[in-house]
Amino acid sequence: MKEFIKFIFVVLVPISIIMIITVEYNGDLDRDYYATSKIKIQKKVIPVDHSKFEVLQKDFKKPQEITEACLSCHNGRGKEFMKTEHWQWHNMDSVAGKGYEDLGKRNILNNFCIGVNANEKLCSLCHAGYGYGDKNFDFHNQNNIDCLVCHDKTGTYKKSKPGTGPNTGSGNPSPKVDLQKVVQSIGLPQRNNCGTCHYKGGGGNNVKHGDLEMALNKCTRDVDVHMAYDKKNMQCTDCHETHNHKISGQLYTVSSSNKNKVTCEKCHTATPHKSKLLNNHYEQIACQTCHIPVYAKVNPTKIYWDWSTAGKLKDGKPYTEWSKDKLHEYDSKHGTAVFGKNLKPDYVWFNGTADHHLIDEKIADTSQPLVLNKLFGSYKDNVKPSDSSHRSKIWPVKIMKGKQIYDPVNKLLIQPKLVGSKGSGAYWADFDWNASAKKGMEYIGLPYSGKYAFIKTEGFWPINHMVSPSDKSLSCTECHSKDGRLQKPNDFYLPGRNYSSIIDTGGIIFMLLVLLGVIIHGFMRIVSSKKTQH
Amino acid sequence: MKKVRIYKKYERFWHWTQAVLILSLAVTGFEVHGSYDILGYQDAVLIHRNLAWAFMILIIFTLFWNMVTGEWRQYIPSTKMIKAQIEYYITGIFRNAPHPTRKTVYNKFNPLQRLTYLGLRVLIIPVVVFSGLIYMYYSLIIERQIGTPLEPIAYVHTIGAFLLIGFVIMHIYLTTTGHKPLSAIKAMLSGWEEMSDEDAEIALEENLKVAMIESRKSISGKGSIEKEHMFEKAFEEATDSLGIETESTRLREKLLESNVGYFRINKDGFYEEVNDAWLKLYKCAIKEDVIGSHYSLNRTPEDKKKIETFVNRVLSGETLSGERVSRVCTDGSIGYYTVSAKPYFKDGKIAGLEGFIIDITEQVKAEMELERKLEMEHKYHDFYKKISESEGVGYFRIDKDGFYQDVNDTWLKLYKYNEKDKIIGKHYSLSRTKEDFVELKKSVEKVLQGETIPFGETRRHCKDGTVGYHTITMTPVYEDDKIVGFEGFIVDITAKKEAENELRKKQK
Repeated sequence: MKEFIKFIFVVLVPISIIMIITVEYNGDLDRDYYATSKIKIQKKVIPVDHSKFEVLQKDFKKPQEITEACLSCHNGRGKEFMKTEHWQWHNMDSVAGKGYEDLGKRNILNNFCIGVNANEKLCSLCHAGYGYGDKNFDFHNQNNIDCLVCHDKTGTYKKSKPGTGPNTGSGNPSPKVDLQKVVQSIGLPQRNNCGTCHYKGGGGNNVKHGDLEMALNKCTRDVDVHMAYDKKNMQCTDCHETHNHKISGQLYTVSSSNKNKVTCEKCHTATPHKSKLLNNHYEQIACQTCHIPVYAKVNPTKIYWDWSTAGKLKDGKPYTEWSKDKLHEYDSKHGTAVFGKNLKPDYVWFNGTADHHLIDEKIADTSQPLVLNKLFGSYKDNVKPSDSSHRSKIWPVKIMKGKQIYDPVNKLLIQPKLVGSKGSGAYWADFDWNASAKKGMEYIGLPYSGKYAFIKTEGFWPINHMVSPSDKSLSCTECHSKDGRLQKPNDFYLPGRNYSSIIDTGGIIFMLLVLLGVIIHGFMRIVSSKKTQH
Repeated sequence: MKKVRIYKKYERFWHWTQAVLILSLAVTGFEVHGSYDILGYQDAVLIHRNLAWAFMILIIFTLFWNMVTGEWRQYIPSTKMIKAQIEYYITGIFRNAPHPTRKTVYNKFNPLQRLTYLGLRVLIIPVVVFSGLIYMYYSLIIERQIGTPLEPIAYVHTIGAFLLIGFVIMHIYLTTTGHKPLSAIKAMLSGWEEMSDEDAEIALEENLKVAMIESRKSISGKGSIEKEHMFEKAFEEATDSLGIETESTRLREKLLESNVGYFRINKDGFYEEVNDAWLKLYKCAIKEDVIGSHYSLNRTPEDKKKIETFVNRVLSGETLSGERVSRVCTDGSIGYYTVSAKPYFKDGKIAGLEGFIIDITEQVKAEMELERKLEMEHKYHDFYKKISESEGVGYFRIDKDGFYQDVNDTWLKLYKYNEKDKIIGKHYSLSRTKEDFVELKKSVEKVLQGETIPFGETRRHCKDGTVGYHTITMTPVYEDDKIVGFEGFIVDITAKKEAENELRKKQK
């Protein structure tokens, strides 16, 4: 009894205390923790009723007249806006290893609808201007600015597709729009204004980005914590702060350098978690990586586009066929497409700079998939970094894969002419790649050998939207496990994922051998002790 | 079957805490490694870190404990008996052969254990701990500043973990090889190990012997009074071991035979038993005179009170040790000794007390005189006069060139000289080996510069070629403020040294 009490006090009690402390003690609490509740969102309103202004009470014949009316009060704004990329569609940016290059929508090819050039009549559906129908468009006429597409508050303003009525296409408004009504209800851009273009890139809702789509106009927290209509209801410009029509933020599909970024830490700081352990991840993991576990949460996004199968006709007419699950499409104009919903992103190291395959750049290796906008970065950037503020982080991306037309002789990607009337060489009218390529290349002033083929290409789309609620963000073992989602990048040792099979197998064999030895030895002792007893 | 106290409180605490920590570290560690999913990854990481800190703190405490208590000596590897131990595990154990080594509180580990535990403590655990520390701060320090990849660090940490688990399996299995399958585990839990009667008897003796030597060492060693608690500690361990299980007559016999003064007093305060050593210390020639007399007889008044409280405390059940008391001997002289005693039981009731005394008279005298001398500056010559008349202490004086000027009779006896003339005028190197002389010369040089060296230990070669040990105290001799030589006294400790050597032999 006495011994038992001694045992309790000498062994049991101290061990219990130590174990309780080690299990319960949270040494991980970060004192710099910045709670989300501290963040204040400032809502801006315009204290003006535009319907009262006489200058807007006119029967506008041409959309340019509306712009003129706007600018009669908002003087200087036109010049201001014409400096922005939303107008210019090009952007001088430095590309590592290539120099100062002219990028932007006008100069970059992608693997969706490939390129703007020669197709402006349709593409300018998303240009914030009127009449951008070809490369001769006057970028210096401020009356061509389309104010309404961004500032309409009725939700009825629409641009027209070419050939849907008189004076349609080229970014002109649809004849069905009641311009009078739109003009008199003007306000700051809302989600649906930005979404008019940014949701529908690539030819349909959510086709391009995967994390930007119409559902965001009215979504729950599960889809996006910031934009949830019944909660924070944040607008695009709450994050993409705008001064003098210059909207902050950029995407690496059309730009390349580490500038003008919209970041999470601007509001959330670099220490948003209570846990030091989690905050330590900040240095190497983008917020998006854990907090956007899936994208294309509501509607599917296109993940594969094979132009090479395009052109099949039924009874001489183009047709469209969908699979039952609505994820596979054949379209005579576009070829084969694959869509995906609730997709897990791919992950890459990314240091904030990107490469671009320039429009006149020779393809070095046609046997490999051509990466159109390689995101720079690797784990090595973080090992003894000379500039510790310029680190690489693991970033979620949508990798858009496709097959698109190129010139195997000149080793150039081809800008095809897609949009146009029959006989103009436009592919979507004539279904003749050769004519389409010839017209397109001629249009941008690049050579075409007369031979075309299709090359596999990849585009990298960093995922930034559709942030999930914290309880839906990635758990540790999503990455810290052997078969987790972070199989790539694998140029570093990740606890829980990486292991040496030699050490692990060796270790288990060692333990088993010890156990076996012990069992045999014990067995022999039992047998021999029985023998000696008898 | 008997029980012997083997493990101390701290050891038990440390062992089980370490066991729980290592197992929990393994469970959480392999979860972090990605082997399974039990606690949840984040909890596993955080708990693993906390456990690691607890483990490191425990290691530091234990390191400190080992240093302070001298227990680290238990880990000194020895190759003797290692073959026997291996043979025992390979063949002997199946033939029911006895263990080739015995477990005592002063020699807990067999040579294989010594090697294994030393390897764990200086190699595997440090490697695991340091790789773990680097791992913990990897992204904050190593990656940024040094750039070593995490891979090799993680690999080393993993290998260490596998080795530790292998050790734990083996270790748990080998606990079953004791007297009974569960003896070793019970011992680690309670501190008391079950042994066969014969083994227990031997282990008890060993424990006691070491306790004695420790106590003597502390008393005669360097003359420091503060060291006495060491003796108490050692004796407590020994009497504690004696306490419960041994009504062993053999042990008591041993005590009676030994040169330690043994006594037993009944509960009314009358002597029931004393041994020859005791009689000699008290200078009472006839045993019969003492048996039946009261313990308060022949005490100075202040001591009487002290001893009364001492006896009463022991009779109320306490075990006391190392109490310093004086006595008035039958010849009227005053002597000093330390007394240690415990109650003894008859039919479950305290029937009296028994214990032993160790003589420290000469030591105390010398100490007292030395203290007085040091207080009264250097020129107090009376001290050495007194010393030279003393019986237990050898006196000598040597001139500054190293030649003997004077020695007393006790000195001659210790060095086994018949006449004074044979040594006077001789150099002190005569009675040393070469290495001893070099050692002593260093001390002599210090003394000749004015220092006093109290209670150093040294070795002498006697005239007949035998070797003896003594403590030596040296102070300079002044003449007109110039040092002309040195003088001092020696106290013999040969018996103690021999006992120690014997023990060491036995251990080996």
